[in-house]
This record gives sequence, structure tokens and C-alpha cells, in this order.
Amino acid sequence: MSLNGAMATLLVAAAAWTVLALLFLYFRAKSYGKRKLFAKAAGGANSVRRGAIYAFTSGMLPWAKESVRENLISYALGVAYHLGIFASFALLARFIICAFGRSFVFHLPHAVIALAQTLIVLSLCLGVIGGVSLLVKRAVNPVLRGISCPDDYISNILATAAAALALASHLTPRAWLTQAWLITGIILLVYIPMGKMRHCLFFFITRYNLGAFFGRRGCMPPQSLGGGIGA
Amino acid sequence: MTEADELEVKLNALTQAEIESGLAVFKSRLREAEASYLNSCVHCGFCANSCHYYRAVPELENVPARKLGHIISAFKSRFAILGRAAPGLVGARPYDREMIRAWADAVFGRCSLCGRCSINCAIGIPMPSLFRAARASLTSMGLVPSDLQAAVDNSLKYGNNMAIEREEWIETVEWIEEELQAEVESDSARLPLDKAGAKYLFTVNPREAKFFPLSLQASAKVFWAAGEDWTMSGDAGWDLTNYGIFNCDDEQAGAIVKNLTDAMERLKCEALVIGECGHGYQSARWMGPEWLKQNFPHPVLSFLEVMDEYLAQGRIKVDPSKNSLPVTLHDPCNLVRHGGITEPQRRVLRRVTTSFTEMSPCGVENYCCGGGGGQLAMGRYKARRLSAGSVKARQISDSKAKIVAAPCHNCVDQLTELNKEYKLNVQIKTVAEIAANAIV
Repeated sequence: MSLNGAMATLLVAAAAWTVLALLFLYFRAKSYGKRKLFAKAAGGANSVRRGAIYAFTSGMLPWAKESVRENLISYALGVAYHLGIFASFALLARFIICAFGRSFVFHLPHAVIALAQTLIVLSLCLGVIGGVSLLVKRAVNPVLRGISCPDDYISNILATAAAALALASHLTPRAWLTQAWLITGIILLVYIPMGKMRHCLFFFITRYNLGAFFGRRGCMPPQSLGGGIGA
Repeated sequence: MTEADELEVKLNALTQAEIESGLAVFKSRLREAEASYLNSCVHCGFCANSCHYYRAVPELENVPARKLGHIISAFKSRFAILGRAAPGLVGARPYDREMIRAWADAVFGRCSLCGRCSINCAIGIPMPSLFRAARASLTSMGLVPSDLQAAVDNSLKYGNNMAIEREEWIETVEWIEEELQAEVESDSARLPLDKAGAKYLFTVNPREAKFFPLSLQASAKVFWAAGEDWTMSGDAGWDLTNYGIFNCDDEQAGAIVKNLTDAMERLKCEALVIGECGHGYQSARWMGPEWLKQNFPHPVLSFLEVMDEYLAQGRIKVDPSKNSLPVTLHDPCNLVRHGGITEPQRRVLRRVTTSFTEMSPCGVENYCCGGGGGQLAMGRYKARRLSAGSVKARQISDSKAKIVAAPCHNCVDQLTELNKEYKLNVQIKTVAEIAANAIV
């Protein structure tokens, strides 16, 4: 087996571990059981659905929350950071597919490939800037430092390093850079369920529950968007 | 012995079995939603400024993520694999006396359960649900502040949190009825007690009977002007408050809310109307059915909805020029952010005043006054409560209003203290008082 093939196999194994471990965490949380609710929902049976939809759509827009309005730079850095992480995962996925002798890019027009590559590079650049900035902010800001534990730094460094190495190996393809990127990717995948990066799963569960809770009570969407009791 | 000393004595007397039992109570309060929340915080710190405690005193222990962090770290140390294997890595710390002290300080001493952090959390963690679970754990170990527990005990023993005896309640109602009849110059103005089959069973805060009779008189005047068929309970079932929502002992909270459902069953009214009270509304409308594990067969309405309907239907006539001073509105957290009652009070105030102005921010984004979460009943944390209230004081001052409408008696109490503390020079009134003043 070639080195690339071995790396791709390890990446697949790491990804499988991530998925299985996240599934384990998910089912462990589910084992606590669902809360049966008795109070009648405000605004009818659709209020839970409306609240959940709001939580994942308008409720995530920068102007929907005071905390974001007051921290627009951090919010933008966070968005950039996540874009970079998604882009680095996209490149890892492409590496695996190519290593196993498949290629989807050949069937796409050159313009689409060029656009995709530009977007990937741009996202990785933004991701690195976002990741490094947030890491510095966490280390410097006394409140953030106070609420942080080693996991916060490790998670950031791993994700930022994965994006940075993906960018570097993409722009200047060298064997050692590629190997460093792939190894970082494997470590990152293995670490995801162990630390705070598990929020890649729990974010969706929590956000749904937020929308469902406040939607049921007629508080989401806010009154200005047609929600609420007696609106 | 001071309250703080009392906590230390109780903490030191805890046995390991009691500590284990406290942790078991915490775990028993979790369902899959809460178990997910415990895995969701990313420590971004966005929640910091959403908390009025942090806004007032920007120190680490006032950051909601920090308060939640104490809970998560104890949970991880016991129930998470990595928390047990590598506690230092994920910030897991044991659930011991030091941690219990941190929990008590965080969830009783620095949190009014207002939920503002939830709507501002980047992830969307409904933090009060976890803070409530932590309070339940502390209460089960006897670490609830004694004055808060006393209010619960009064409700369980007397049917109201101020230990008002039946005779005293009835005499007060009769006296207020005489005052109302004198005010409106009509014997038809009544405060009916135990009228079976009335449309509405109206409930009040015992503070109205004890200290704010004009508030009850105002509500009764609105009912009278609308020609409503209403009643109050002579026995247990007239007090809308439920401090069980604050000590978070669901069994006790359920027993208290049962006073209301029993009165409804006894008097066979169509709807239960909760007077102006935030936690009372949340307790009866949202939490009560969960505590009793049953659907209520009757609607639970806020008196604000009732007044809004009267005005919309033209059942009461008002002259807004009778309320010509600028009025602003405080949004009680339990009524608005956790209750969903946001617009009725605004519509009422727009109709009964000539100069209504919103605070900034307002509605679900409004700040807690600082008196919520049972803070008014916990003398131990009074200084913090008044300090955290500085955010609300600034909002009031910036509004330039002369009257603050507060549809909640706990909020009225806190705002009255803030009025003195920060020399705001405003009047604090319930919405019913303002509406009643405009009735023609």
C-alpha cells in the first residue's frame, strides 16, 4: 500500500471513530429520556416547529442577538474560523477519494473547479486568521482565559493547524507538508468527540431544544416576527 | 449567625452520603435535552454581557459560562469518560464541598434565572434549566437559603407565602371592597369570594393583601368596570406565588400549585386568571402542569391578557389623559422571556396612557430587574441584588419616564428598592393600577 493509501485508510478509520464516538455520546444523552410535557403549547401545535425553525434561521443572523451585535468582530472571526474548518475537511475528503482511485473533479467544468479551489483557499485563509485571532483572544482576555480549560486551547490549535497545513500543502505541494497536514487531520478527527469539538453534534440538538422550548411558550419567533401569545 | 456562616455550617456538616444524594438529585433532573446542554458550551464568552450581574460587576464569577462551568465540570468528573480519565484536560473537578460552595454561590447568589443568557448564547443553551437542576440538588441537601425556604414552607402550611390566616385574608378583601365601593360610588363593585361557577378565578400576590391593597383594588375596579363575573378563593388557592419554582423542589412546587387547581375544581370556574406576577404566571401556566404531570382542564390566563381583551372589546372605557406622565414598561423575565406574554401589556399601556415609551432594550431582550429567581427572598445576597439592579436603574433613567409599569409584584418590590438606591425619582405601578386610573 502506498503512503497516501495508508494515510487515507487511517483518515477513514479516524473519521469512523469520530462518527461512532459521537453516536455513542448522542445515545448516551438520549438515555436520559425525553421529558414529557403537559402544558398546552402557546399558539397551537406548530409553535414548537416555528420556534425551532427560527432558532436555526433568523435567530442565527448577526442582528438577532445582542451578544452578537456587541461582538461583531468576534462573530465574524468565528464564522471565518468555521469556514476554514469546513474547507479543510472538504480537502481531507477529496484526498481520501483521490487516494482510493476516484476523482470527481474531472467531470466538472474547469471554471467550476477553479471557483471551488479559489473558495477553498479563501476559506482556509479566513479560517487560519479566525482561528489564530480567537486563540490569541482566549489567551489574552482575562474573562475568556478564566472560563477556558486546556481542551479549549487544544481544540483551537488542532483545528487551526489543520486549516493552516491544508492551505500550505494546497498552495505549495510538498510531501512533508502533506504528511503533516494528514497526520494533523487524523489527530483532529480522533480528538473531536473527546473535547469541546463535540459541539459539532450537540450544537444542533441544543439549538433545536432552544427553539422548541421558547417556541412552545410563544417567545420564539419574537413578537415582531409574528410569534408570541396574543400577538 | 449570619446567612453566610449558616451556609458554611451546613456545608461542613454534610456527610459523603448526603453529597452523593445531592448529586443523584441533580442527575435525576436531567433529560436528554439537559444532557446535551452539558456537552455544548464552547466557552466563547458571548454570554458575559447578557447577564445583568456581569454588566454591573464585570468579574469572572458573574459570567454565565463560568456559572455553568462549575456545573459541567462536576458532571464531567463523575459521568464523562474523559472527565474521569483526564480531568485536567476538560476542566473536570470533583463534586465536593468546595464545588458545592461554588454551585451555591453561582446559582443562588449570582443568578436570577432570567434566561437572558440563553437567548444570547452562541450555541443556544437554555442555562436556567441546568441552574434549576443545580438548585434542586442544593435544596435536597438543605443548602437552600433559609428565608427562601421559609416562603415555600409558609405556602405549604398556610396556602400563601406570607402566612396570612384565612380570617385576615377575608377581612382584607372586605375592607378593599369597601374602599372600592367608595371610590366608584357604587355598591355593585364587589370582590366576590368563593363564588361557584364564576367565569374567572382571580389570584393575587399576598403582598397585595399585606402591603399593596391599592393594587388589588385596581384589579377589582377593572373587573367591575368590565362587568365581569369573577371570584377569588377564600381558602387556599388565592395566592398565585410559588417559591417552589425558586428552591426548585418540584414536589413542593407541585403541592403549592395544586392549591390553585383544587380551587378551580372546587369553584368550577372557566379560567384561572393570574394577577400581575411573573413567576406566578410561569408557575401556573407552564411549570404547574409539569409538576403535577397533568394537562390542566382549564385555560390559565394572565390578567394582562384579560385587560387587553376588555379594552379591545370596548368593555371598559378609558381616558388616557388621566395618565399623562411619561410611562415606561419593565418586562418581568418569567412573564415575558419565559412566559410569552409580551404584547398585551403594551397594548393596554398604549390605550390608557398618553406617553408610553419603551425601555432599551425591551421585550424578550429586556434586562431582569435583579429581583427574580427568588433573589428578593434571599437576604444573604441583598448587596449583589441591588448592585445587579444598577443595569435596570440605568435603563429607567435613560427612558426619562416618570412612571415605571411593572406587571409583577416581585419586580415592583425590587424596582422600589432601586428607586431609593439609585435616586430614580419615579413611581412604580402595576399595569392594572395605571389602567384603573384611566377608567371613566
